Amino acid sequence: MAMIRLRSVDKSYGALKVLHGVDAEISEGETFAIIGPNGAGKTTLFKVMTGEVGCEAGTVEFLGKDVTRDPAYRRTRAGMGRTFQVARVFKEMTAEENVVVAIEARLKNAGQSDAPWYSVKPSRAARDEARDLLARLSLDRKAQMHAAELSHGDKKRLELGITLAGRPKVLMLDEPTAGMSPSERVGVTELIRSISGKGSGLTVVMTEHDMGVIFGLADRIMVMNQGRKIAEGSIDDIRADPVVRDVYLGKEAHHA
Amino acid sequence: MNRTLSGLLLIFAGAALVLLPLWANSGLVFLAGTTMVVGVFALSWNLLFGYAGLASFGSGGLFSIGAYTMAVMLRGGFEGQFLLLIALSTLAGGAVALAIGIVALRRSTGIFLAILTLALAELLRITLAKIHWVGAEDGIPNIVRPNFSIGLATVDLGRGNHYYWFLCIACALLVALSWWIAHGRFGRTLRTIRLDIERAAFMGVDTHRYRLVAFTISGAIAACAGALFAPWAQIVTPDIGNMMRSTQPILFTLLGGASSFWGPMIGAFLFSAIEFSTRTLVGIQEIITGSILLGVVLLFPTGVAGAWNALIARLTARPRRDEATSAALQPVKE
Ligand SMILES: Nc1ncnc2c1ncn2[C@@H]1O[C@H](COP(=O)(O)OP(=O)(O)OP(=O)(O)O)[C@@H](O)[C@H]1O
Ligand SMILES: [Mg+2]
Repeated sequence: MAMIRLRSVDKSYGALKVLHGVDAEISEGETFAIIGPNGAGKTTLFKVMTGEVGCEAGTVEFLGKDVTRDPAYRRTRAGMGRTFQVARVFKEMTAEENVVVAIEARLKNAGQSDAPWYSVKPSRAARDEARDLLARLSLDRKAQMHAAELSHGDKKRLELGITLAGRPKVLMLDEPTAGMSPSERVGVTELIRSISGKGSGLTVVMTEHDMGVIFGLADRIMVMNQGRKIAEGSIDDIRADPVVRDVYLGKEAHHA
Repeated sequence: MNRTLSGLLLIFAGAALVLLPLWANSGLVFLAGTTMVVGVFALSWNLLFGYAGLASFGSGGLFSIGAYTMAVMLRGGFEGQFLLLIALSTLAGGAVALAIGIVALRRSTGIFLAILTLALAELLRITLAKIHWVGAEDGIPNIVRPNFSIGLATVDLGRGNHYYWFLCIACALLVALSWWIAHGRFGRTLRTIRLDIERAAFMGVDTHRYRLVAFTISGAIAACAGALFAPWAQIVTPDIGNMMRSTQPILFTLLGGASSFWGPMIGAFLFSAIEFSTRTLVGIQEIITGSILLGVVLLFPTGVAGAWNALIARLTARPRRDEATSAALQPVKE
């Protein structure tokens, strides 16, 4: 079954048309990458999928249901989890609190809150789960640090933690390794692979500029340019596509 | 360390307030009682500002609704049911806040909400000044301090300092309630909304609904404070909810610190202390008060509570930091 299906999505910011009739179908369990040069509309497509912005025409379906009009929180409850291109964490809170609030939100929405009504503290289970998650992200030693004090890479990982705490069915990552050092990149790639590996059933939608990361993770790739989909297929298909070479990979090849 | 010290300070302050009538004159006792009530009022405002990230400039209107509801019902001869009257006044404030929130919060936050609430509070004040049934501009004078019965025991709140002590208990309960709301899961979720509303929405939080509930609770507590105040002042006039009243919580919060739960309450008492000690300096009192406020805002951007926490943190020199000493304390996202 299609996890997410976009049908001829149009999106404009004022007079600027950013998406031109984009179609896409993302299947359950696959890792789907959206690539394209700066300003191609990748983030905008993300925003339309997650409900951060609406679209003027076209529809967004999630798990077979039309969610075009659903606000972001509804889509999140239905199983979408996303990160932002520039990591957004709750800066005044500690790393652990960041994850705890996300776990609490999930438990509340699922009607599984297990803390007694009078208790001000998060439940034991929520705190344990947060610690486990932070350990998986190698943030356990920074659990008590304020998110504002974390390094860029740590913030990105913490944001991933907030998102995973919601136990999403589809994990949507907007440039998960942007601004990271090469070694951090390898770490995050490994991390995403371990989370979304076969058997996890997790669907991943990601944008990324780093081709190493893309080729290491993606099952299928969609290439965008100037708000349009210009190609879609497996890594090999994309590598072989002359149009893609021209507008995108070609440019990179020249740089190299 | 920090916690223990602050806790001790709290107990000490509470005891000093309860024992105040034993030695202070009635003027000072009246000031203390008033400060407690407006302190609770300021806490209710900061529940919105410091936690949900919403700034209301019309909270005086809700205070007024509580005070008038109480005054009218006491005048109507229902003084035997004081607890019920408090509950009804609180509900009235909550209902009005809910109605305003439903209409206003969906589109207007930030400056629009500020202007809208300010306008509504002024509208209420002007309307009250025209309605003869509530005494128009003269308001409702001679409000009685009723009997208060709980179980078999009945206390005559009109005698001696009984109403003052009643205020102590009522305010303590309201502070405890606010503390519980602010520190529990609800308050934590509100904080995420203030810090980054979109990030919160992408955790599956219905941010609009949370803000609406916070707006309602804040309005209910503000009205409850107003209801407690009416028999204390023994008169209500339309000016009980004027712009000065709406500004009070903002000033107290600036002075005490928005990032700390106790900030607005500390600010209220500091403000009263400054006003009391400068009361004989007719003419320059406002200048002094204003200068001190300016000084605090410039020197301690996190308010007195923030400065206090930072001081203790430095004295005890433990690396772990408290919420109120963090650097990023702008109460509302730019
Ligand atoms: N909020 C906005 N208002 C107006 N224009 C916008 C807005 N957000 C994006 N745009 C424009 O829309 C186009 C697509 O932007 P988008 O962020 O989707 O690109 P992208 O593919 O994610 O680029 P990058 O690789 O740099 O992240 C760009 O021309 C951008 O300037
Ligand atoms: Mg982008």
